[in-house]
Amino acid sequence: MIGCLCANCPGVREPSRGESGATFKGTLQAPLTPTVLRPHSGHSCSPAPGAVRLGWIGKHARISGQARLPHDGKRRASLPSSLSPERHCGRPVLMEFDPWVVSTALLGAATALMGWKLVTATFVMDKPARAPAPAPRRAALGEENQVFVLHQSEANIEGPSGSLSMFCLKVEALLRVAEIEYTSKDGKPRAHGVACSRAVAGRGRGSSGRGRWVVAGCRPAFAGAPPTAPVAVRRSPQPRRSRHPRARSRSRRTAARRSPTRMTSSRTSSARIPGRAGAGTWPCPLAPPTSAPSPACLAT
Amino acid sequence: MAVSARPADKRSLPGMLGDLRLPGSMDPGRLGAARALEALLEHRSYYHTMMHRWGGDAGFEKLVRIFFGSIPALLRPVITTMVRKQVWATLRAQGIAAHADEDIASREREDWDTVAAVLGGTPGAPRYLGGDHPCAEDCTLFAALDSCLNTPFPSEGKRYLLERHPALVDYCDAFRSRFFPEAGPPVDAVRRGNAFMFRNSV
Repeated sequence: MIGCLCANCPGVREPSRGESGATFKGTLQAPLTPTVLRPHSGHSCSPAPGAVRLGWIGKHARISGQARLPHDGKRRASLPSSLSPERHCGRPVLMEFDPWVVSTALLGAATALMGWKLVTATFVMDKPARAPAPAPRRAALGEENQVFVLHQSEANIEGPSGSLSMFCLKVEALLRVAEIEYTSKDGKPRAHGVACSRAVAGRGRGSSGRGRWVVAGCRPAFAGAPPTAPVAVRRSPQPRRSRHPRARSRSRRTAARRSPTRMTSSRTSSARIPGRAGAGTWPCPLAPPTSAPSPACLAT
Repeated sequence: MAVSARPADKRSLPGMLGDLRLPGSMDPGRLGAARALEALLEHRSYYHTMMHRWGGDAGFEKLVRIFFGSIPALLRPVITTMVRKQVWATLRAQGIAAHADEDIASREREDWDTVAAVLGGTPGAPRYLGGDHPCAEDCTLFAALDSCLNTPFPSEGKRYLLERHPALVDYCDAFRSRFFPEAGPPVDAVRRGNAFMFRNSV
């Protein structure tokens, strides 16, 4: 409904029966619905530029017939502050938005956005090549004094998927055959012995094998060369410890209940067990045969 | 050539990294065959394994119990269905899911026949792809054999291996006992598919 609160406005009409809106005669008993109030054409109280303000007429606002006359000096006590005559005929004109219009506009915008997403997802194809970040430099097998990084960051060396045990087992078998220092994810072989044991260290995104793992180790002296100085071994990132302490203790209790031969999905960091060959670690070739693994190996 | 004992001082052997035979010390023909075999295993046999685990209902039932057993029962069907749909999309994109089961079984038999022909060896006297020492491709072969034989998922490849290629089975067992001594001998019940890999859930 369009109306003007100004008493000088000649164009105010009486709302028909059942129509909600402001009336200028008598007390409005019906709830005042959002109303668009504009300066009436031909009216003298045109709003000053920039003086239009948006507001919301309260649902239970009552406008008395007297209150509608801002210029006659009669009472206007029941007018809400947003309908203050000074702010109306004094120039600002109240403009109210219909909530149905607003909600329809918002819903329309959301629908349009979703439709656009749907269209782009259906008909617009991304470039096939993602151009992933290049893998870090890997030492070739047998290369002297190099960290043997099997997998780091986004480069997955484990195979096409890495989600099943075959590629995990492949990596671990390679490390064992080459006698490269490594540690498995949870420090012990899993499940049926070897198939799910992971030659990984660092943090990952779960137990499925598809994650970010770093395998680093020191290689033995090559072809009769004397043992070299400890290699600079990259540290794998520490696992995320953001879980709640109660959850961590619960998972520890759960792991303790499990049989050693049972698969675990511990997210804890790879626990190095020095000298415990075959239980997730493999003897470091740089270590003296009768002592604990060398510091270089322990630094992985 | 039979698997030899570990040398007393491996550092005296050129072209070795631990017990691993390096590519530079291998015969080029042998190395090429080994790499072709690795490609066969990783890009073809691997997806056969995935089909048996994710595509077949019998394998997927076991897979759910093994990998998704810790999920609450109410959420388990939702999550497993979502994951299975994603894997199935991968299998369709790769192409293996477009084949009939009989064709997949036939391809499996062909693959293991090829592996046995390239590897050679006889039952009781297995040999490595790298000769008397395993090379990197041997690790792939062992991983493929072990994940096929020593997991409880039924497949035509497992049946065919156990029936027709005892040399490959011996190769897998010898590799396992040498480099994974703590794993122990394979469990026959698991190999037959009658038991899960967890002893307390048999």
